Amino acid sequence: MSEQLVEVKDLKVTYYQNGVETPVVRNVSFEIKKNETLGLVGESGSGKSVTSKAIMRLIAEPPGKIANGEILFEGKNLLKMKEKQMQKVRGKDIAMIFQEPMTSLNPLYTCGSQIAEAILLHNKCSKQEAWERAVEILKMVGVPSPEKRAQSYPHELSGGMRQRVMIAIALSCNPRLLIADEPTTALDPTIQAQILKLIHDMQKEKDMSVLLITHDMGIVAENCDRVAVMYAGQILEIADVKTIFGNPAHPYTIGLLKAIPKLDEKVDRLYNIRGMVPRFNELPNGCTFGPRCDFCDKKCEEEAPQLVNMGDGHLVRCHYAGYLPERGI
Amino acid sequence: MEKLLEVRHLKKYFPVKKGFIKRTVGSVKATDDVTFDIYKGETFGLVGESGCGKTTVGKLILQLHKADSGEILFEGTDLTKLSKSELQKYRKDIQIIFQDPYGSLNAKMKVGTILAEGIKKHKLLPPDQIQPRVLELLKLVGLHDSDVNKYPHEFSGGQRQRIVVARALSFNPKLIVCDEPVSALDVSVQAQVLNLLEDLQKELGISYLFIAHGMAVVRHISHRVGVMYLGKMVEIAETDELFEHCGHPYTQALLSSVPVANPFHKKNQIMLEGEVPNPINPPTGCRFHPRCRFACDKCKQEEPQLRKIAQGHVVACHYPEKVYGN
Repeated sequence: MSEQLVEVKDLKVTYYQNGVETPVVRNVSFEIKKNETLGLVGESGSGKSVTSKAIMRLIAEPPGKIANGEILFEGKNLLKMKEKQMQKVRGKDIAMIFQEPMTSLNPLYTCGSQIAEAILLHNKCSKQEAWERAVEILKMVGVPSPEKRAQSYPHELSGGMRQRVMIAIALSCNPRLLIADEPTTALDPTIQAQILKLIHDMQKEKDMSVLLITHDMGIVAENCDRVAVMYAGQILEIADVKTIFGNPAHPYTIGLLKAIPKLDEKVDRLYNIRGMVPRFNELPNGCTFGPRCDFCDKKCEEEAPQLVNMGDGHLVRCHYAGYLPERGI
Repeated sequence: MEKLLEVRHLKKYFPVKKGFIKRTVGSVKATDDVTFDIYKGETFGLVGESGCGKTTVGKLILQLHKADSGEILFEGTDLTKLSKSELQKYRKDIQIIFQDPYGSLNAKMKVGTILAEGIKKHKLLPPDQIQPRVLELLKLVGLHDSDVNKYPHEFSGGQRQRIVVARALSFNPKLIVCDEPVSALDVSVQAQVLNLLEDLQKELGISYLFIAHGMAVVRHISHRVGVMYLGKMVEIAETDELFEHCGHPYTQALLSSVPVANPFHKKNQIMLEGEVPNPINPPTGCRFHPRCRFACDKCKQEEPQLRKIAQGHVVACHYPEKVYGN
């Protein structure tokens, strides 16, 4: 359990915006252990998807650029690899599923051939064998009558079934790491529950690690072992799931948890995090969350906080981490 | 409490056409015999999965679709029977807020023009009072006076949704249909918009029909909740009653499928098999029976009607006691 599968160190990704190089991910460091599910949460525009794309080296260059950092996958630096080598990693060792099952499948090919394509690309086998494996995987991910469905085109399937096909493609080469970028956001709650359970079961069966990107704190609480909270391109807090929910230390995490309506308790008024997520080209000085924070003072406005270790791998990017209770939170 | 809106046996089938001569081969039963009331100053939540007909109900109330049969009584007047010109009078009383604040504002109009348009059209105020009213509306939804000359693209999603709310308020409506008003917004911004809607209700006494698929949001904002499945209303109850003692197996499964933001709490999840069936050809009897854990022969043949199981709590199920109270 303790061994690291992926180590991201000091990652910085920039995008050119109107001719200006704007950092959208800064000083991001985290690791994913073997067999663990790491949740990456944050609001839109916080840099979650860019981080995951950087791991897959899918940042379009230009306008994007991985400006700094290391991404070690089983000890090898992915950022130093040649494109040819990277192609062998992509889809084989690291697989990805996206939010939109509608747009991430090719409408001109049958589902079966899209799964078989991935198998043929990374394994030495005949087309016949690849097709048979594709049907087998469809069965594994719970698609009813897989032989028939393998010959269906994506438009003939429902959203939930398409997402199952996406998972089938991702799992076809037994990846070590599955990156799931908002895998259930486009699905209904009862189907969402089915898909999340499927990802969890597959993870157990295939011994893989999962990087689960979501904005839903409920999904995080039920599916992740550890959580990294992102805001404006930085990780503000990272800890195991029980610490994040039971003993959060960053004002943003605390606010986020108070701002969501709960199913099991009714509050009169939801907590407001005032203002909105800043744009990347107009980030505030000092702490990026400062202008929206109830505890912001002069130090926060002037000096950008570093990640502080609170023990047990609980890292917090706040000057007053651990001292917030004294300040009335 | 006084009833503002009474919906009675509302039906809307959309024809499905096929082939070169566009022959009607079937129909999507989007809303099939839906009955409910909305009281004055109340928020009525409408939940269900995509394709269950909740948006169609909202659009029928606004008369954006013509109902096939049934009645929509707004303060006693049946809106479905009115002619186009008679309807004009009621249009301003019922307003809508859509899900996507990026698609529902005209990009070429300034905020001030957007907010003044409805007031001018319905001649609600003399011309010299329009500008002060626009500024008042902006203040009401928490925007600045200076925003009046800006274009929609200059605002963030949450701010745009505030403009949409202000536009709906410009008519002094009695009912606002909120169709997934916060689904496209981030968590922190979502809380701002929900609080705004609640404040406005307290201040102005507006009723909301709150359509959403996020159960937690509906629980937070609604006084009463209706659950729809495949065009049918399957359960209506007061919010706390529904979330704590639901009486329909579908409601129970829907509630248990919502992820809870609490890792210390272990819940027993009821996993629903299969997917929502095709509304063109819904199952016989109870429409939920192919996915229901308790389904028996009676459910396959006989369609359950809404019946009362407690004060203000109706359920369309043959065996509500299997879920209710357990």
